[in-house]
Amino acid sequence: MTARIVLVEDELHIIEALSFILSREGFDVDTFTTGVGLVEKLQDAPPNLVVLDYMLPDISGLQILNEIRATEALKTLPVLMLTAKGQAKDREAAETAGVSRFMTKPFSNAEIIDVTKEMCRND
Amino acid sequence: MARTLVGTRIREGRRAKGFTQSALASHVGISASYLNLIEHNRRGIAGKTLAALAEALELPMRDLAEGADQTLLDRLKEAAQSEPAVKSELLKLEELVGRFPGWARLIKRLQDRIDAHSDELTALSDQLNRDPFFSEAMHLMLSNITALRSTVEILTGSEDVPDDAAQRFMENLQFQVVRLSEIAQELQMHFETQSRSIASNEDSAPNETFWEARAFFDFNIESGASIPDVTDPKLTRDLELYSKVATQISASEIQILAPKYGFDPLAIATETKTALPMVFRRLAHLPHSEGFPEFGLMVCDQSGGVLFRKPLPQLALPRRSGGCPLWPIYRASQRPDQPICARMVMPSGEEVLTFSVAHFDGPVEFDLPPRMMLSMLYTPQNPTVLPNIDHSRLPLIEVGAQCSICPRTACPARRDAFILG
Repeated sequence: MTARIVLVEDELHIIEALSFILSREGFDVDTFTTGVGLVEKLQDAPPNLVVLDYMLPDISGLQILNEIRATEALKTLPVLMLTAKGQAKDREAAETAGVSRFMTKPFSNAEIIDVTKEMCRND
Repeated sequence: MARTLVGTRIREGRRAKGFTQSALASHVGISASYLNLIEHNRRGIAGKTLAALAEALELPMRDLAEGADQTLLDRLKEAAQSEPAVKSELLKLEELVGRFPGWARLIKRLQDRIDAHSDELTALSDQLNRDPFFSEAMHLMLSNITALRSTVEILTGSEDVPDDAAQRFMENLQFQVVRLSEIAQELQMHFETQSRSIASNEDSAPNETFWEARAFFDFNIESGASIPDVTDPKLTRDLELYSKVATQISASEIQILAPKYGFDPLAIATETKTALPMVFRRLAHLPHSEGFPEFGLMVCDQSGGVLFRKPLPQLALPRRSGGCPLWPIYRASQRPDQPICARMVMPSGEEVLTFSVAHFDGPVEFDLPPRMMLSMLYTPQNPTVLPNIDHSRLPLIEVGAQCSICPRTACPARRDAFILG
């Protein structure tokens, strides 16, 4: 069965590029540019992986992660956090909130493809 | 140590004057062999003989008896801490100062300069970390570079990109390159403006350096010492207020009240019968290194002119004026003495808890409005600050730092365009 990935990122060109390369690798990619109401959508149809940007225009990726982990049905959902802020305190905050993996921008296509495959395999 | 080295100082004094031991001994009426024992610190000396020697050597008796300026010695000891090789020679420090006072003063002066430069560097580095524009620009640049890198890898890494997709990616690439160069230009302009502002803002920079060097906490003032002698009247006023509130409520008193009230400023004000703005000052001058929550503080007049600022990484504060109009501090002026407690969420998602109040300050005169001061205390969200209040019931306001660097483009309170938009 095709693994489904939810990509939450406000930079449209990153969405376009990542959607293209991940779809080419056989993943089914759903994209969102904002975070409000996302958790409800994830609950309705849990994906195999959420790729979540740390900084979104409406609510932060960290808040979304907290909501995901507070939702019984999504407690173990793999979440890959993307951030342009590689500072230790952001990483610590995400780890405390229960992030599965953390990736600092900029990264190569090969890196994100490898991590995505690995995380979907473990799912 | 000072008593045992009196002899060394006498010997140095005699050599400086060009006396032989026997000449000096005979001048003060003691034997040359006795003077020799004194000079080698093998005999104690005081009273009349010491006075006679001091007079003969034309040195103040106190300098001879007590040795070098204690401040100089202490400063050199501090300097020695950074150099392990010198630590073993600390016992000879007084001898060094006695024999080579000029060199000792030079070492002190150089150490003072090193420390001042180091403080300046730390302050500049902190400023950069707290700079919301820099933080936002870096975020945009890194996102931009990620998009660029991914797009370039798609276009150059394989041949199976459909023509329409390739065309779209080429257009994206062009857009990203232009955007990246615009952000770089904005950054350059920002730093140029900042450099000019720092150069022309001599009145606020020394204040910030003063407070940052002490992490907004001064042990001497807390212990009841008088405030340091500073030339800047604004800093003098802030120090007077700090000294006043430190006398009214000690840091340990805050610690005692914490189990019952947390760090609720209103409860502390009621319990200690202290005005709320003064409690704000008290909480802003607590040692975070000793486990107190970290509080930021902004005090401004009714026109928004900033009079005191202690910024935190979660929320940078303007130097002069022009903060986000949605900050509750500006709303506080509508109802003086009515405190406002609200949560503020920054565009980065970071949340701070704020307390704001406006109060009249200064004399009242006919036909002149009294001066109003606005204060806002804030701290990163932390349940221990207000343990008796359900934080989720406090109003949550979406704010920014300043319009020009705030990405909330749809904000109705916006007065300037987002320069990276």
